[in-house]
Amino acid sequence: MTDPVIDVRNLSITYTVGAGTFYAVSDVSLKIYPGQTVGIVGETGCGKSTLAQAIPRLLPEPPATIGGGEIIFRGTDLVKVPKRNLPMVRGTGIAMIFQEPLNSLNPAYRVFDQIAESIRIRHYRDMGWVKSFQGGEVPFDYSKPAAPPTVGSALTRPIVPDGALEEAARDRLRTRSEFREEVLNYLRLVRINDPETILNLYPHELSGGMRQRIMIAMALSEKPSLLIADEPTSALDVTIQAQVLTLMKELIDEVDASILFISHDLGVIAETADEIGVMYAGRLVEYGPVGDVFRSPRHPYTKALLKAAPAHYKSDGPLSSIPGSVPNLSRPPPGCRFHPRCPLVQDVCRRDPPPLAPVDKSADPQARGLHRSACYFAEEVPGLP
Amino acid sequence: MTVAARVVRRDGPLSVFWRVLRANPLSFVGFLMCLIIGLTALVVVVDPSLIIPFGPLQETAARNAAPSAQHLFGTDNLGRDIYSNVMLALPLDLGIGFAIAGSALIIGGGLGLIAGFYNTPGTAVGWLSVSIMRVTDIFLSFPSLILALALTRVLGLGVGPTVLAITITWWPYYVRLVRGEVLAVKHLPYVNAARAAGTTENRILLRHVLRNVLEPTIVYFTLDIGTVLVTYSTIGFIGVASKYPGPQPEWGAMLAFYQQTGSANIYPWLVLAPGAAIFITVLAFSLLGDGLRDILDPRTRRAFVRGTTTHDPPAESPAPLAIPSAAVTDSNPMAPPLAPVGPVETGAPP
Repeated sequence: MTDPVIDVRNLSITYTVGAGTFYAVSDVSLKIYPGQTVGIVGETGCGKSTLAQAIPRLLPEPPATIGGGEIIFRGTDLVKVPKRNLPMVRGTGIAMIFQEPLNSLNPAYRVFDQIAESIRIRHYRDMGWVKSFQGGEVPFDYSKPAAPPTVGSALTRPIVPDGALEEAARDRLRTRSEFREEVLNYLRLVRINDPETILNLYPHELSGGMRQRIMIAMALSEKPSLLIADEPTSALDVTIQAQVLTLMKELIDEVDASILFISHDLGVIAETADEIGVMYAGRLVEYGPVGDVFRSPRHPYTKALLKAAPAHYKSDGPLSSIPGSVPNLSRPPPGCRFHPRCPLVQDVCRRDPPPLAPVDKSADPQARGLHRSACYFAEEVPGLP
Repeated sequence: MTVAARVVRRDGPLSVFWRVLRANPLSFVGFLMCLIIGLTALVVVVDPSLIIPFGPLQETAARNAAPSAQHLFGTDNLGRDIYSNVMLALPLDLGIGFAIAGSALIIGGGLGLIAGFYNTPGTAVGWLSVSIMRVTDIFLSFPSLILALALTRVLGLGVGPTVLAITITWWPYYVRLVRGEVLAVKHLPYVNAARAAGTTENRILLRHVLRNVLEPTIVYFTLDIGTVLVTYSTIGFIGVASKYPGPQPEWGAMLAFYQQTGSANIYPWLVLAPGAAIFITVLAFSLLGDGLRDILDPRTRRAFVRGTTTHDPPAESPAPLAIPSAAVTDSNPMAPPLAPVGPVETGAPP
């Protein structure tokens, strides 16, 4: 059995704003295996973006605090990695595509420079000029801050390491011709026609869809082992959304990376993901293969969410909605967070938060791709209207 | 005109620079003025005898002469040529403007970058950031002119101490400006995107933040050269900066001398010439500053580059009998740029 690319264990994240504390993510566990695409759905404010940004430790800390849990990536707990070592994890290890393609490219640089920067980061790490843990090996213990050089080592160490100057000269040769060719290849990979022209354009000269393609090209050019896509299609027009989505689906097969796909759109997740996690009020309430979860949801929230999605633009009456409203995350309800709105609520739901347990009780709880639900009454969910 | 192929020419930075200036008549004038002022200063430094007929203290036969062909700006009561003195003062005043504004830009800009970017509360760099800002606030709470005057009393008379005194009072404005811009830029999504790509914090500061802060800062710097000149001249006017008459004249000191000796009441050209020199120099840099903004910002630059989009002439078009208005617009270099072309979506259909 292969090891997961990323193993999130019991992750909790809080935001401290003024005197209040918001429990944005509570006790979320998630494993993503090589080549797998995992989708996370949930309403606005359910903590899915917080989760996505917490994995490469991109959340501003403070106000965010990782209250507990582990993020195991290549054998190391990212929660414990000191801030100054974090850039080594990002990019070549965990890359990310953001929600706002309009502002995610630096307006001052041409497309070529933006992508070349990413390629250069990977190149320098591949060459070992910059510390990283590309290639699955940890050349040093990056969970500890690098020791400051002692006077002795600083004096005896050569100022320029052997061969570095030749490498630098060769790299400078790369800069124009080979880098250009590589950038063009990545532009072609994201299906951009006429990449030679696009290369010389500034971000403001491109449409939203084009910019998102550039973002995807930048993320992929670092050859990450995990790609996190945080609502990559939300800010786009519907037609462009479809194009970018098609591209993402094609790339999932072509690219050698696991993908964590965050979206509030059930349809998008259904099309792209192998496994799906449903989040509600900071908790993962249901997890399983896309087919199982969509066909037979085992959590009342998932059931209601699927029912509320306007699937076929039916004209036989009003769209259904979930009664009640999303709880205030500064004072989340005790027990199951869905209990104030749940039709199956019992006393136990108000008391103890239900664990994310396999729906099929006889199954091996460690097995991959198992349908799990955080509901005490998961068997009764299919009987709900 | 029929449908013609659009050829977007990608030009070098110089031709873009040229086109932006040309499309902006005022900044073009500013640029020309700065060019002339700079070249004149260069000539004065290299070989003053080329354009300056008299020495700064040379007493000619004509006393209190009105402006004439021989004495362009007239002479004073001892027959000293005003034109020669104004011209001799040009390199000094220009150098003072660049020296003060430049060191304030480097000191204040550097501190502003640090204070704005590394401002995480509770850390060592956070404390550094807070200290920089509090020291800045203390400096800003004094009126800069008064503080500069007080400092010149401590540092002594002369050009060097005065430049130092003004620089000491000048950098806090750059800290404020740069810090504010950094704070605005560092929370933009592209900074976080760069972070996600594995860029280190220092490189984010130098490559992503600094580049986008540069544009308003450079514009402010250009406008500031004028302000610095006025301030220096004010201090010169009070008479603590430079000695006039002397071997190295200075505009503010000239103004002060003729005003205080009372000659200016009878012979106005004595103060008109140095006053106009200050005015023109300040104006030139202010006008240039506006044009620089357009050159540094890729978003405005684009409009001008698009303006050069060439339409290939239709192969079989008959020779125009009357001049079509569209053709006039196309060939007119001062015409506003063509309407910008909408964003290109060249992605493959799914």
